[in-house]
Amino acid sequence: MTPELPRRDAATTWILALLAGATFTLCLMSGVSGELLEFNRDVITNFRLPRTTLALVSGGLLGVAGALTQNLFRNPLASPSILGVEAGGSLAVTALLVAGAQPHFAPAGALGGATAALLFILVFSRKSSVILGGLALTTAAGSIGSLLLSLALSDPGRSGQILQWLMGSLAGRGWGDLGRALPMALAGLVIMWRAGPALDTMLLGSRVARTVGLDVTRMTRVAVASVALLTAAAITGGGLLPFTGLVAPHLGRAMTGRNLLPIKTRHLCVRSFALGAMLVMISDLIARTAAAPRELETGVITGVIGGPFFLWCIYRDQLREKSGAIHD
Amino acid sequence: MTDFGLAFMRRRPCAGISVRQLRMTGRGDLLATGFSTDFHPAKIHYIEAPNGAGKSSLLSCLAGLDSPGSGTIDVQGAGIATDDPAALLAWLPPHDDFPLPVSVIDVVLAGRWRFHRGSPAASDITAAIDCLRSLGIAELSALSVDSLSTGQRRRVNLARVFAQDADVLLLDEPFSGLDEVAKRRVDDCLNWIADLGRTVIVARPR
Repeated sequence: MTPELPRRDAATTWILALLAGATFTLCLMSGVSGELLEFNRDVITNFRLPRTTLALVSGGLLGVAGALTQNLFRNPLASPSILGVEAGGSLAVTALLVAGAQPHFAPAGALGGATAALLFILVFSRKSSVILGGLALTTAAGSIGSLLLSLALSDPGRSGQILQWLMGSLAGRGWGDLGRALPMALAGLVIMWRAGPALDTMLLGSRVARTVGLDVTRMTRVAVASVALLTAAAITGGGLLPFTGLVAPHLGRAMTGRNLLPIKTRHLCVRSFALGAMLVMISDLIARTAAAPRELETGVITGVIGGPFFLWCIYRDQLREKSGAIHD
Repeated sequence: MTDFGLAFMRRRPCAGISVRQLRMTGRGDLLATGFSTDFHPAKIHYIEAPNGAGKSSLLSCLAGLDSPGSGTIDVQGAGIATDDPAALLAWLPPHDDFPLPVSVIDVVLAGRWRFHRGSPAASDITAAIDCLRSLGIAELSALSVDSLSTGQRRRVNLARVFAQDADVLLLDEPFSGLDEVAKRRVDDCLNWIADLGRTVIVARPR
């Protein structure tokens, strides 16, 4: 007889998926004219539909990448933006654009940059905190990016293109960007799904995982490949959208009820996709309506929302450590 | 002796470990001059030494996690029919480190990885619950490890080691943080497991 186990919280995941769908519809219907729900077929199909889809996909992918990163590095504060993976990817794209490459080389650049950044963090994590390594990486990549940008300033067209990348703007992006992102996105998601159970075991630490019979080296490579593909796809689709990958998995984990089992990696990834998608769709809605007719950058909005959230996470972790010490 | 409910654990010929001239510089007295011994099956071996003597280093070398500076470690036995390290060696780390929420039952099921490879069968779940029950913590199975006390976490991790059903159990301070009742319970379990032919190696402070 198999003992009865309490269920995992599937209901919350379904509700989140429905909410993400509702947010998508809301963003399609909302514009600057003042009415909350306006229906203009041309504007919706040619302008809002591709843009909102990009927001959904980029945000969702970053959410999943964040969940995987946190489980891989066993650090609740890790995410593609905090570890410098987004910065590495976007720096590579900037360098390519400055060098005069065509925009359709951007996905390859993003993938190369993201992978390089992840490998650096992986090596760094053996010696020190991944968060500090990410800080160094982000700062260095940002500085080099600024240098490249200043070199490109003489060419307004090109520097505009680069700025759009760096600031995570969804303005003027369309189905073409989505098409370029999609192959990497699908590959990353398939790998994530297959690696899910192994990542659950890696949560116990790489040494324990090794002794229970998991090929930790191989699984680490697989997880790194997945995170790199997902992050590169997200950057290709939507540019830099900081903190999305931190906020989404954090909320996804916190939403599990007290009497239910903590969710596993696959489950967390589904929730993180929905939450990341919602964050970026709403940020994009704010970006295109708040200061209309002027557009704000979507990445700026996610950053403004995510920054305080990051601080709150650190604060809460410290509180937990303190209360843990009393508990023990 | 009472039945601990570790029904999945069958009596079988198990591997022992023989260590010759194991040396690791800078890892304490135990490994400074070359450590040699034989760990026989169906016995509990206690490595008792003060803190910093190198007990943890020795155990992680035996577990194949660290490589010694010099010397040989030979995992051997009459009837052993496997070269899967996870079937031969199970390891309890000196500290229970769970930085992210994970449920007790999932931790123990991770010990069964070599059987289920990610999709636990009913038999794996039964075995995992058996391990928790044998340590007196079956009622914790649905909780998250962050809600547990130090001693409870220690036993959850130990249950994970039992669930692996390996020939050799390398236990780095399994009693740390446990109260007297829990210590006796762990002791009884280890005796039971050794009686089934397993090699049990316990490091503890003197």
